[in-house]
Amino acid sequence: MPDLMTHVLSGNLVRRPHRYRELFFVGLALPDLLGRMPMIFHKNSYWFISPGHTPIGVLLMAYAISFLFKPAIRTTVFKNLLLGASLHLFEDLLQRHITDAYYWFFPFTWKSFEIPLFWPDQSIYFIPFLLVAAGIIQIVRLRRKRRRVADGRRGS
Amino acid sequence: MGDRLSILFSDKLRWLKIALPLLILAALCVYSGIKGPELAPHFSDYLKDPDRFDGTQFMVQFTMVKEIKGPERFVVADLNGRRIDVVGSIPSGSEECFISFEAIFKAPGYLILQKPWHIYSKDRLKLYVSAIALLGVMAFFLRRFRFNLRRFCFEARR
Repeated sequence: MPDLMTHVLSGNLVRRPHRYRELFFVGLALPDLLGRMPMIFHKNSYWFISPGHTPIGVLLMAYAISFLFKPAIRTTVFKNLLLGASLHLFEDLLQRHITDAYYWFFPFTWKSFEIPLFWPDQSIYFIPFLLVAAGIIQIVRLRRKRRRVADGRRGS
Repeated sequence: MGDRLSILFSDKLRWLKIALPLLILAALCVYSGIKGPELAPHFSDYLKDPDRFDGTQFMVQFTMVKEIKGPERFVVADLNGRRIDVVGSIPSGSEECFISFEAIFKAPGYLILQKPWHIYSKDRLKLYVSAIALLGVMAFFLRRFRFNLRRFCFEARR
Protein backbone atom coordinates (compact mmCIF):
# COMPACT_ATOMS: atom_id res chain seq x y z
CA MET A 1 0.00 0.00 0.00
CA PRO A 2 1.18 3.56 -0.54
CA ASP A 3 1.39 5.48 2.72
CA LEU A 4 -1.77 7.15 4.01
CA MET A 5 -0.33 10.62 3.36
CA THR A 6 -0.13 9.83 -0.37
CA HIS A 7 -3.70 8.52 -0.32
CA VAL A 8 -5.05 11.54 1.55
CA LEU A 9 -3.16 14.09 -0.55
CA SER A 10 -4.24 12.45 -3.79
CA GLY A 11 -7.82 12.84 -2.53
CA ASN A 12 -7.24 16.59 -2.80
CA LEU A 13 -6.39 16.31 -6.48
CA VAL A 14 -9.71 14.82 -7.57
CA ARG A 15 -13.18 16.34 -7.56
CA ARG A 16 -14.36 15.74 -4.00
CA PRO A 17 -17.98 15.38 -2.93
CA HIS A 18 -19.62 18.66 -1.91
CA ARG A 19 -21.54 17.39 1.13
CA TYR A 20 -19.76 15.77 4.07
CA ARG A 21 -16.44 15.50 2.25
CA GLU A 22 -14.88 14.51 5.58
CA LEU A 23 -16.29 11.03 4.99
CA PHE A 24 -14.56 10.90 1.60
CA PHE A 25 -11.24 11.35 3.42
CA VAL A 26 -12.21 8.74 6.02
CA GLY A 27 -12.96 6.47 3.06
CA LEU A 28 -9.48 7.14 1.69
CA ALA A 29 -8.03 5.74 4.92
CA LEU A 30 -10.65 3.01 5.45
CA PRO A 31 -9.03 0.04 3.62
CA ASP A 32 -5.77 0.49 5.53
CA LEU A 33 -7.59 1.01 8.84
CA LEU A 34 -9.39 -2.30 8.34
CA GLY A 35 -6.88 -4.39 6.47
CA ARG A 36 -3.44 -3.17 7.50
CA MET A 37 -3.40 -1.19 10.76
CA PRO A 38 -4.26 -4.15 13.03
CA MET A 39 -0.91 -5.65 11.97
CA ILE A 40 0.85 -2.99 14.06
CA PHE A 41 -0.74 -4.51 17.16
CA HIS A 42 -0.81 -8.15 16.07
CA LYS A 43 1.91 -8.97 13.54
CA ASN A 44 0.52 -12.33 12.48
CA SER A 45 -2.96 -11.07 11.70
CA TYR A 46 -2.29 -10.45 7.97
CA TRP A 47 -4.48 -13.20 6.55
CA PHE A 48 -7.22 -12.71 9.11
CA ILE A 49 -7.59 -8.97 8.45
CA SER A 50 -6.95 -9.08 4.69
CA PRO A 51 -10.68 -9.08 3.75
CA GLY A 52 -10.84 -5.55 5.18
CA HIS A 53 -8.63 -4.44 2.32
CA THR A 54 -10.83 -5.91 -0.43
CA PRO A 55 -13.73 -4.27 -2.29
CA ILE A 56 -16.28 -6.58 -0.59
CA GLY A 57 -14.85 -5.85 2.87
CA VAL A 58 -14.89 -2.11 2.30
CA LEU A 59 -18.45 -2.27 0.95
CA LEU A 60 -19.72 -4.18 4.00
CA MET A 61 -17.91 -1.90 6.44
CA ALA A 62 -19.06 1.31 4.72
CA TYR A 63 -22.65 0.06 4.94
CA ALA A 64 -22.30 -0.72 8.66
CA ILE A 65 -20.57 2.60 9.38
CA SER A 66 -23.33 4.55 7.61
CA PHE A 67 -25.71 3.46 10.39
CA LEU A 68 -23.62 5.47 12.85
CA PHE A 69 -25.11 8.58 11.21
CA LYS A 70 -28.61 10.05 11.01
CA PRO A 71 -30.93 8.42 8.43
CA ALA A 72 -31.12 11.60 6.33
CA ILE A 73 -27.41 11.55 5.48
CA ARG A 74 -26.70 7.79 5.46
CA THR A 75 -26.70 7.38 1.68
CA THR A 76 -24.32 10.35 1.38
CA VAL A 77 -22.07 8.87 4.08
CA PHE A 78 -22.10 5.49 2.35
CA LYS A 79 -21.35 6.98 -1.10
CA ASN A 80 -18.56 9.21 0.21
CA LEU A 81 -16.90 6.37 2.10
CA LEU A 82 -17.09 4.17 -0.99
CA LEU A 83 -15.73 6.91 -3.27
CA GLY A 84 -12.75 7.47 -0.98
CA ALA A 85 -12.09 3.76 -0.53
CA SER A 86 -12.36 3.17 -4.31
CA LEU A 87 -9.70 5.80 -4.98
CA HIS A 88 -7.53 4.18 -2.30
CA LEU A 89 -7.88 0.72 -3.86
CA PHE A 90 -7.21 2.11 -7.35
CA GLU A 91 -3.95 3.65 -6.13
CA ASP A 92 -3.00 0.35 -4.52
CA LEU A 93 -3.57 -1.33 -7.87
CA LEU A 94 -0.68 0.72 -9.30
CA GLN A 95 1.94 -0.89 -7.05
CA ARG A 96 4.26 -3.75 -7.77
CA HIS A 97 4.82 -6.68 -5.43
CA ILE A 98 6.81 -9.88 -5.59
CA THR A 99 4.03 -11.92 -4.03
CA ASP A 100 0.27 -11.56 -4.49
CA ALA A 101 -0.84 -8.60 -2.45
CA TYR A 102 -4.44 -7.68 -3.16
CA TYR A 103 -7.30 -10.05 -3.71
CA TRP A 104 -9.70 -7.88 -5.69
CA PHE A 105 -12.38 -10.52 -6.20
CA PHE A 106 -12.16 -12.16 -2.78
CA PRO A 107 -13.89 -14.40 -1.69
CA PHE A 108 -14.67 -15.67 -5.20
CA THR A 109 -11.06 -16.06 -6.25
CA TRP A 110 -7.58 -15.61 -4.77
CA LYS A 111 -6.23 -14.41 -8.11
CA SER A 112 -4.41 -11.13 -7.87
CA PHE A 113 -3.32 -8.60 -10.45
CA GLU A 114 -1.78 -5.14 -10.48
CA ILE A 115 -0.43 -2.43 -12.78
CA PRO A 116 3.14 -2.44 -11.47
CA LEU A 117 4.35 1.18 -11.55
CA PHE A 118 6.12 1.58 -8.18
CA TRP A 119 7.13 -0.37 -5.08
CA PRO A 120 4.96 0.25 -1.98
CA ASP A 121 7.78 1.92 -0.03
CA GLN A 122 8.52 4.33 -2.89
CA SER A 123 5.21 6.16 -2.46
CA ILE A 124 6.77 8.57 0.03
CA TYR A 125 8.79 10.12 -2.81
CA PHE A 126 5.49 11.44 -4.21
CA ILE A 127 4.59 13.34 -1.03
CA PRO A 128 6.48 16.61 -1.76
CA PHE A 129 4.96 16.81 -5.26
CA LEU A 130 1.49 15.93 -3.98
CA LEU A 131 1.81 18.58 -1.24
CA VAL A 132 2.65 21.26 -3.79
CA ALA A 133 -0.13 20.12 -6.16
CA ALA A 134 -2.68 19.98 -3.32
CA GLY A 135 -1.61 23.45 -2.16
CA ILE A 136 -2.02 24.93 -5.66
CA ILE A 137 -5.41 23.28 -6.11
CA GLN A 138 -6.54 24.55 -2.70
CA ILE A 139 -5.54 28.12 -3.61
CA VAL A 140 -7.42 27.87 -6.93
CA ARG A 141 -10.49 26.51 -5.13
CA LEU A 142 -10.41 29.30 -2.55
CA ARG A 143 -10.09 31.97 -5.25
CA ARG A 144 -13.01 30.52 -7.19
CA LYS A 145 -15.10 30.43 -4.02
CA ARG A 146 -14.28 34.09 -3.22
CA ARG A 147 -15.10 35.10 -6.79
CA ARG A 148 -18.43 33.28 -6.59
CA VAL A 149 -19.27 35.02 -3.27
CA ALA A 150 -18.27 38.39 -4.74
CA ASP A 151 -20.38 37.77 -7.88
CA GLY A 152 -23.31 36.77 -5.68
CA ARG A 153 -23.05 39.99 -3.67
CA ARG A 154 -22.86 42.08 -6.84
CA GLY A 155 -25.89 40.25 -8.24
CA SER A 156 -28.00 40.89 -5.15
CA MET B 1 -34.56 3.00 -6.93
CA GLY B 2 -34.78 5.87 -4.46
CA ASP B 3 -37.36 3.97 -2.39
CA ARG B 4 -35.22 0.86 -2.33
CA LEU B 5 -32.23 2.91 -1.21
CA SER B 6 -34.23 4.58 1.53
CA ILE B 7 -35.36 1.15 2.82
CA LEU B 8 -31.74 -0.03 2.81
CA PHE B 9 -30.66 2.96 4.90
CA SER B 10 -33.75 3.44 7.09
CA ASP B 11 -33.83 2.98 10.87
CA LYS B 12 -36.01 -0.12 10.51
CA LEU B 13 -34.05 -3.11 11.85
CA ARG B 14 -31.07 -0.78 12.35
CA TRP B 15 -29.14 -3.14 14.61
CA LEU B 16 -29.64 -6.03 12.21
CA LYS B 17 -28.40 -3.84 9.36
CA ILE B 18 -25.27 -3.10 11.37
CA ALA B 19 -24.75 -6.63 12.69
CA LEU B 20 -25.32 -8.53 9.43
CA PRO B 21 -22.52 -6.93 7.34
CA LEU B 22 -20.19 -7.16 10.34
CA LEU B 23 -20.98 -10.85 10.76
CA ILE B 24 -20.41 -11.49 7.05
CA LEU B 25 -17.10 -9.62 7.27
CA ALA B 26 -16.10 -11.62 10.35
CA ALA B 27 -16.92 -14.86 8.49
CA LEU B 28 -14.79 -13.71 5.54
CA CYS B 29 -11.94 -12.92 7.97
CA VAL B 30 -12.13 -16.43 9.46
CA TYR B 31 -12.18 -17.96 5.95
CA SER B 32 -9.18 -15.85 4.92
CA GLY B 33 -7.36 -16.65 8.17
CA ILE B 34 -7.72 -20.40 7.48
CA LYS B 35 -7.30 -20.50 3.70
CA GLY B 36 -4.74 -17.71 3.25
CA PRO B 37 -1.71 -19.36 4.92
CA GLU B 38 -2.21 -22.43 2.70
CA LEU B 39 -1.59 -20.24 -0.35
CA ALA B 40 1.73 -18.93 0.95
CA PRO B 41 4.13 -21.64 2.15
CA HIS B 42 6.47 -20.56 4.92
CA PHE B 43 10.07 -21.56 5.58
CA SER B 44 9.16 -22.63 9.12
CA ASP B 45 6.93 -25.35 7.59
CA TYR B 46 9.87 -26.54 5.49
CA LEU B 47 12.22 -26.56 8.48
CA LYS B 48 10.06 -29.26 10.11
CA ASP B 49 10.98 -31.70 7.33
CA PRO B 50 14.00 -30.23 5.49
CA ASP B 51 14.83 -33.27 3.35
CA ARG B 52 11.32 -33.45 1.92
CA PHE B 53 11.34 -29.81 0.81
CA ASP B 54 14.98 -29.67 -0.35
CA GLY B 55 15.11 -27.74 -3.63
CA THR B 56 11.62 -26.24 -3.33
CA GLN B 57 11.30 -22.79 -4.86
CA PHE B 58 8.90 -20.38 -3.15
CA MET B 59 8.18 -16.73 -2.32
CA VAL B 60 9.33 -15.37 1.02
CA GLN B 61 7.45 -12.43 2.49
CA PHE B 62 6.97 -10.69 5.85
CA THR B 63 10.59 -11.28 6.74
CA MET B 64 13.09 -8.81 8.11
CA VAL B 65 16.82 -8.70 7.43
CA LYS B 66 18.40 -9.28 10.83
CA GLU B 67 22.07 -9.61 10.12
CA ILE B 68 24.43 -9.41 7.15
CA LYS B 69 27.06 -12.05 7.80
CA GLY B 70 29.17 -11.32 4.75
CA PRO B 71 29.02 -10.38 1.08
CA GLU B 72 27.18 -13.59 0.20
CA ARG B 73 25.20 -14.45 3.34
CA PHE B 74 22.56 -12.81 5.51
CA VAL B 75 19.96 -13.78 8.08
CA VAL B 76 16.22 -13.07 7.91
CA ALA B 77 13.57 -13.50 10.59
CA ASP B 78 9.84 -13.93 10.19
CA LEU B 79 7.20 -12.07 12.23
CA ASN B 80 7.52 -14.66 15.01
CA GLY B 81 11.27 -14.16 15.20
CA ARG B 82 12.18 -17.51 13.58
CA ARG B 83 15.49 -17.04 11.76
CA ILE B 84 16.99 -18.62 8.69
CA ASP B 85 20.24 -18.08 6.79
CA VAL B 86 20.05 -16.88 3.20
CA VAL B 87 22.84 -17.31 0.64
CA GLY B 88 22.89 -14.28 -1.63
CA SER B 89 23.96 -10.70 -1.85
CA ILE B 90 21.95 -7.67 -0.70
CA PRO B 91 23.09 -4.06 -0.13
CA SER B 92 24.79 -3.33 3.18
CA GLY B 93 22.73 -1.26 5.60
CA SER B 94 19.60 -3.32 4.95
CA GLU B 95 19.40 -4.59 8.53
CA GLU B 96 15.96 -4.17 10.17
CA CYS B 97 14.33 -3.66 6.75
CA PHE B 98 11.56 -5.89 5.42
CA ILE B 99 12.47 -8.01 2.40
CA SER B 100 10.43 -10.06 -0.07
CA PHE B 101 12.19 -12.49 -2.34
CA GLU B 102 12.00 -15.68 -4.30
CA ALA B 103 14.14 -18.42 -2.75
CA ILE B 104 15.12 -22.06 -3.02
CA PHE B 105 14.93 -24.00 0.23
CA LYS B 106 17.92 -26.24 0.89
CA ALA B 107 18.41 -28.93 3.54
CA PRO B 108 19.33 -28.85 6.38
CA GLY B 109 17.75 -25.42 6.58
CA TYR B 110 18.90 -22.43 4.58
CA LEU B 111 17.66 -20.44 1.58
CA ILE B 112 19.28 -19.44 -1.70
CA LEU B 113 18.27 -15.96 -2.81
CA GLN B 114 16.71 -15.81 -6.28
CA LYS B 115 15.44 -12.93 -8.37
CA PRO B 116 13.20 -11.02 -7.98
CA TRP B 117 13.76 -9.54 -4.54
CA HIS B 118 12.97 -6.19 -2.98
CA ILE B 119 14.02 -4.51 0.25
CA TYR B 120 11.43 -2.17 1.72
CA SER B 121 13.90 0.39 2.99
CA LYS B 122 11.42 3.22 3.63
CA ASP B 123 8.84 1.16 5.52
CA ARG B 124 9.38 2.77 8.92
CA LEU B 125 9.22 6.29 7.53
CA LYS B 126 6.04 5.28 5.71
CA LEU B 127 4.50 4.26 9.01
CA TYR B 128 5.26 7.61 10.69
CA VAL B 129 4.00 9.59 7.70
CA SER B 130 0.81 7.49 7.66
CA ALA B 131 0.24 8.16 11.36
CA ILE B 132 0.41 11.93 10.72
CA ALA B 133 -2.09 11.60 7.85
CA LEU B 134 -4.42 9.52 10.01
CA LEU B 135 -4.37 12.14 12.76
CA GLY B 136 -5.16 14.79 10.13
CA VAL B 137 -8.14 12.82 8.80
CA MET B 138 -9.43 12.24 12.35
CA ALA B 139 -9.14 15.95 13.18
CA PHE B 140 -10.88 16.90 9.91
CA PHE B 141 -13.71 14.46 10.66
CA LEU B 142 -14.15 15.40 14.33
CA ARG B 143 -14.18 19.09 13.46
CA ARG B 144 -17.40 18.39 11.55
CA PHE B 145 -18.98 15.55 13.54
CA ARG B 146 -19.39 14.69 17.21
CA PHE B 147 -20.61 11.42 18.67
CA ASN B 148 -23.95 11.45 20.50
CA LEU B 149 -23.73 8.52 22.90
CA ARG B 150 -27.46 8.63 23.78
CA ARG B 151 -28.54 8.27 20.13
CA PHE B 152 -25.44 6.23 19.32
CA CYS B 153 -24.67 8.16 16.17
CA PHE B 154 -22.46 10.93 14.82
CA GLU B 155 -24.12 14.31 14.46
CA ALA B 156 -22.90 17.20 12.35
CA ARG B 157 -21.65 20.10 14.48
CA ARG B 158 -23.42 23.38 13.92
